[in-house]
Amino acid sequence: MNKRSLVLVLVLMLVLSANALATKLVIWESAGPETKFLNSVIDQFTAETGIEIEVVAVDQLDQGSKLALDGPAGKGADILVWPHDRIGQAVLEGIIAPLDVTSEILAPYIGSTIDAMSYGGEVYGIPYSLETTALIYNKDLLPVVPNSMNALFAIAKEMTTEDQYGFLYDITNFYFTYGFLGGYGGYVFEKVDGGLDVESVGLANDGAIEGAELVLRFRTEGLIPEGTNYDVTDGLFKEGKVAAIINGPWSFKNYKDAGINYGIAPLPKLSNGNYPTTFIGVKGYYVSQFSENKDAALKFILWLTSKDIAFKHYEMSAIIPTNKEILEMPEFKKNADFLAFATQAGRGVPMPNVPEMGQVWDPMAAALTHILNQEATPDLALEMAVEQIQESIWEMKN
Amino acid sequence: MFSQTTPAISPNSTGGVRRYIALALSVICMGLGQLYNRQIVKGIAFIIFYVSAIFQGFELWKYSYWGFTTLGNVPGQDHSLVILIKSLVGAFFFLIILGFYIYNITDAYRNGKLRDQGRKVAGIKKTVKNTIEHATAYLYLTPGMTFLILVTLIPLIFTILIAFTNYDLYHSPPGKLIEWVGFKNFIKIWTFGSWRRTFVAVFSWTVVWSVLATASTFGLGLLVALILNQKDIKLSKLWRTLLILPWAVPAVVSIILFAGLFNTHFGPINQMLATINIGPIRWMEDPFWAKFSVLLVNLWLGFPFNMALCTGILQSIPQDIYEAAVVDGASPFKKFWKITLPLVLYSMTPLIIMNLAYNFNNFNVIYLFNQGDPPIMGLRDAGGTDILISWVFKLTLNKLKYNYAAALSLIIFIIVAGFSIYNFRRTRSFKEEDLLQ
Repeated sequence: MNKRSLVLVLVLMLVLSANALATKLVIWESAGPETKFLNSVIDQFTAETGIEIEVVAVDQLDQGSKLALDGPAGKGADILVWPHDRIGQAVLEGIIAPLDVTSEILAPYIGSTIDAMSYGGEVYGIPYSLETTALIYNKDLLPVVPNSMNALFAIAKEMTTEDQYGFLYDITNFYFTYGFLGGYGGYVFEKVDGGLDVESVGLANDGAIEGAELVLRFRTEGLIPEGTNYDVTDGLFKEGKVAAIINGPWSFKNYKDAGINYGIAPLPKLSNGNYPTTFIGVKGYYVSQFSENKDAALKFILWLTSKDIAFKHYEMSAIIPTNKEILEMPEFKKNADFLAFATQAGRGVPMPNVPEMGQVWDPMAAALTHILNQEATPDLALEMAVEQIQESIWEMKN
Repeated sequence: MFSQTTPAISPNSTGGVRRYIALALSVICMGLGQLYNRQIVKGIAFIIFYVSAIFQGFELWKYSYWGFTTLGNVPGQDHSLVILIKSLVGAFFFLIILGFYIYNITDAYRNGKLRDQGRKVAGIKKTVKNTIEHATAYLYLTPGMTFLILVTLIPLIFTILIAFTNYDLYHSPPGKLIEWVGFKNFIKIWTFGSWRRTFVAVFSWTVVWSVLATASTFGLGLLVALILNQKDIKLSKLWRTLLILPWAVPAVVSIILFAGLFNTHFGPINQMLATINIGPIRWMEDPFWAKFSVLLVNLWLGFPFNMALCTGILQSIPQDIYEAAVVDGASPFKKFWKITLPLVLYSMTPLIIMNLAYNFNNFNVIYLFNQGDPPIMGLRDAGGTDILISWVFKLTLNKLKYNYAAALSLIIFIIVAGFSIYNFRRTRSFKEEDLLQ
């Protein structure tokens, strides 16, 4: 009898410890405020569910290549974090798993961020933050933001003098310029059911050409001179020499530190009545294909992005949350800076997350340079770029 | 086999039979020949080594076989890159064992010959002593060689092998398998219209760039050294120190600063030129001026080093040669052409050639200054100042075309290795010859 109970106790202990082992999750996240946030909430999750979480500091941009090697060896994390534009590549590499989620579960998140997390008809991640580019302006120079691009154009032209600029941005960078092309009807890859059709590139259609013509006017009418790049824009704005620029949420803390009386607004309306459709970048949590606890991992990342926890995340690391309920909260609406970015994000499109996007950046940057240098007309330059993009994609697949 | 060969020998035979039997036995299994030669301990040691090596190596050779045939069978499970690396390690392991194996055969033959000649073979004590005497050199070399193989040779061969695979975005492990494609990448680079055009454009600029960058830094360095070496220069030490400063500032910082200085609209250089009614010169946007300005930046970064070297050489030239030249009525130019330049070049040639190889791969200046821009219409992912290595960088990081990048790296490697081999074989300075001939 005594012996038997001992055996029973031992078996029980084994089962319990096996259980404890089975529900330990490893999450990789960049060192800094992000890991700080995770470490501050994991105990709460463990208390609620009994699932243990281990946070390991791995830079977001290194996680993909690390998982591709560590995953098959059984040393990878269960949960990963990176910007959504790397999803396509990760799916091709077979390192992240599609999530078993219903549309009700995904309902609280902004629709375009779920699009960003989807690839080939499956949802691969749960979004937690988004960023986009918007108009950042110097209130001392530009008290009121004009409500149309034409008006901004006129005012900026008036304000541009020898060493003061009305409107500047990193114009040859396709990331910043896409909003104008997209606002007139251009698109990178056509959106179809279940994802993007990489065969259909819309960067040389009538809309894209019209957008490129607007971009060209920035140069020909003397607003944005040759040699304008990100550093120039950023530096001059910090010196208070520019009325308005286009930049992202990562930048305005520097402007605050530089003592600029800045404001943030969505980009003004284009001449066709639409708003510029800037690229949205979305960061999300993904579940490793090699994880043995995929359900527990999904549970954890849904919990991380639920209203209360996501609000804490927003407070701790100044992210724009993807949970619609938070965007409606009065505490969030007080924050004018974030509200402007969130409004602009609502008008934007997710940067394509297909790996073919890697073939787009350089040809488009080159096309913009040719257009601005007036070496080629917008339609010719864009057509050449699209041809090159399609050729590269075709060549990759053959 | 054993039973077939044994009847052939008679214990009294005096000819050359034992050496062949020992050789044959050693070929069959490592150590058997030694046993036959009555070197029991050595033979057993060899057999143990042989058996354990086969057991240890089996895992790796399985990969080697895989690696050199298919690079894996099941996508998602077999990681082609891991297989490739393991197969490489396996191949090296195999070569080491093969080396021992061949040694074992020659050893058996040698001792068998000794026995044929009626002499005694060495006992275990003597063998150990001999080994220690002869093997210490190898023992000292082993850590260095192992390190060299692991950190230089294997990555190098790995890159070379990647050039013959289809490793790109769509064939990325672990999701997909990588396959061998032979010379397809090279053929594609050479036959696809825009690839070929880009390769030719980038390659020719790389050659021009490395020659001009090397010649300009050497020329200016020598010129400044000559000037500072004149007797009537006041404060020459001060000037020398000031001129060495560009070398002391970290190159990355200087290059990024120069990128700002050369900015077409916002840069101080064009603003200064505007005051004397020149410009604006499109330093970064015009392909010609972009090439020109990147050469200027490199000149600024590179001449102090050459100046320092030339100064040292100039100061070591004996003055009596010049005095003799003056007596013979040589003009200052003649003295330079006939005495100074040959002597400087004599010492500098190896360094100039290495500099050429360095500039051939001078990624920092090109990429940090202008990212290889400006874009050129019709070129594939390469700009006006891109050299091969920066193009490779863009292909690897932006386009994930690892196979093409590896193929181009291989071409770069062959060229740079050619420079180095030429340098070490042909340069007179490495041979002990008289200074003046």
